[in-house]
Amino acid sequence: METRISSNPQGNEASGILRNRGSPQQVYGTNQESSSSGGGEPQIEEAELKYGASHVIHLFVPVSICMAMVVFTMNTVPFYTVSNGAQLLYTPFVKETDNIGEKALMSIGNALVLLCFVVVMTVLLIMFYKYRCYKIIHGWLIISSFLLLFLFTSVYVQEVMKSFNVSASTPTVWFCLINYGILGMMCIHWKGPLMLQQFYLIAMSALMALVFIKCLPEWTVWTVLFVISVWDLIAVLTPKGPLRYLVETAQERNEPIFPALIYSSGMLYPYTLVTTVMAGVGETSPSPNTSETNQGNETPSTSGLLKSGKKVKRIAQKVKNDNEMQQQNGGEAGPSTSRQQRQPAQNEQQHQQYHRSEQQMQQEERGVKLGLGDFIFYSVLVGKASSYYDWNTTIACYVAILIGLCFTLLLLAVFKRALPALPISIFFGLIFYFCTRWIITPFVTELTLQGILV
Amino acid sequence: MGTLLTISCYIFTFSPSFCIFCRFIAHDPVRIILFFLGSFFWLVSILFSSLIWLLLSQILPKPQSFFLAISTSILIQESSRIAYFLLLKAAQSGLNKITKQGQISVAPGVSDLQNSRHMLGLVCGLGMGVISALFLTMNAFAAFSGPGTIGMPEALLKSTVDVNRAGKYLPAFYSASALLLSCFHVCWTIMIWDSCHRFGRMPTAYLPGFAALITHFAVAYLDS
Repeated sequence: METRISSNPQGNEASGILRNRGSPQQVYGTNQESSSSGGGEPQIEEAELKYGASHVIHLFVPVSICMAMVVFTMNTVPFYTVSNGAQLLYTPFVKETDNIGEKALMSIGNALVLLCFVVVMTVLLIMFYKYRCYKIIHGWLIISSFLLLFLFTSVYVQEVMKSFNVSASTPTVWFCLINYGILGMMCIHWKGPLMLQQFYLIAMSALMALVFIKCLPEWTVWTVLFVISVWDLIAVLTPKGPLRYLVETAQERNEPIFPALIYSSGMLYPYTLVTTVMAGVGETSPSPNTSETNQGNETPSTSGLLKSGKKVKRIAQKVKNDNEMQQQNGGEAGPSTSRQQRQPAQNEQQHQQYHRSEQQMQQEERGVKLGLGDFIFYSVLVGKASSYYDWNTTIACYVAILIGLCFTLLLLAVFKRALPALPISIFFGLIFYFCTRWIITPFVTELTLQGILV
Repeated sequence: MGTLLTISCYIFTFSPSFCIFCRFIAHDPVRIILFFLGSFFWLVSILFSSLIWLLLSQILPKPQSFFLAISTSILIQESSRIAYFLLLKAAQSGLNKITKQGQISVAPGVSDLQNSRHMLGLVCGLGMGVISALFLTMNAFAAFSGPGTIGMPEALLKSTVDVNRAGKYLPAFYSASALLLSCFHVCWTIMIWDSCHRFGRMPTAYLPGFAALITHFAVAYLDS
């Protein structure tokens, strides 16, 4: 019942885009000249830059929060820094050895095995998505987020309480945990305030990163980071890459974006409100007919999570693709030209109203999206760097990752297509990790010993 | 107790930078990005200077190599400022191409380089200053919070300088010098960029930059 209610505006929204793509001139009949004149181009770029900058910040903040959570935990809770011999299933080579060559071989082997799992799981997901098995995907995501929200959170809370020497009664802890988990499930898979949903996504990424840091053997972390970012590059950029296929299919099907697994800086939730305004205007829109599509669209605030370490998915995605570029073209120039014309006709007013809601919706929708996998691996890098009790390394990795993210978003503004967010950031981070640890920190220590500040 | 000391050290060191950040930087996304880019430039410069230090320490005996490394580090830092200025200049001309006359600028910090270039210098210099202060203090502050130590245990073991020169005021002196350093970086950036901006237009253009370089050397060598 509820899902049907919430799916309706979504459906209309999607079809609204479809309609605009089909006949942009018809919808924005009043501003043909402005959208066709060459002067529109710099305007778009300007708007992009402005929004681009604020979007960078919208991603900086959650990434920083996630990293801060991980680093704080790494420095206060000893449980996550010491390995107790528990290993992930995907890293079979765990023998303790001092031989460097053997270590290198084992870490490369581990990374390749993990990569194989990631590839298999990604392909599996793509297959499910291709044949519209939305129920399986949703079940998968729900189970994994259930695990994270209840099981991993309870382990985390237990360890935090141990290390801060807090003792609460079992019923209190259960009460809080169950409420927390159920609220999280509602926010992620059904609906809830955007802030809350973002908070849950960040918290789950941080938990996942902590699990990675704890369970991966010492050197494997670095090879895994390297291999995963190379895979990210391949999966998003090659013509037959699975993630690229995923994004393109999602755009083809006019689903907002494949809603799971992605942190969205823009509003997903409010545009159910905005699109109810549109529902009266865009009546001609064909409503999505198959129940599967409804299933796919049903969750206004859906974003899933990686399933407990198996599959990793990350897509940096600007929602604005070509058809929305057209939309924006009209939307940007629309109000100004119609203001100049000042025709009080009823029809025109309706148009304006439409523009306004449209524009509003774009602003909501024009968020930058970052896969939760990116959050996880950024946090793994920074958290691992902080586990050696050298703050310089942590800070250097943090700045390097943020600058890498900036570069990625700059490239996003240039190429206007889905780009992998991991490679640049992780390569910067790795370079600065090793350089700081081996070269910069000795120099800086020397400086501080002499009391010299340069 | 140690934790409180560390927290107070951080507050002491970074409160001016924090105030400047909140007042002038936090409200504008472009400025935040420029701030982080400034810290990245400093990071790259310290990377190069420590590489040179590594090379020099293989060739020369310790004191000479160290002081030579400090000098090259200062030179590299100042040239990284110049490089940052050139980058922003290029970005600005690129932005001017796409910004029409009379329109509100896209990136106020970058486009109005002529109008508010000192503000730009402040933003970028603060990024450099904050990261250098962080690099030089974080490990020491972390050691302050340790069990029952004041000052740096490693310093007590290895250092050749008189460890008692600061005594129990070491944290205070340390925080104060880091505070000054972060503010100095702002000044140096503004001065160097002023020189860069006027270069070729005025005969005395080199003066501020030269002064910045001299004071940078003075700060480093007065410390030692």
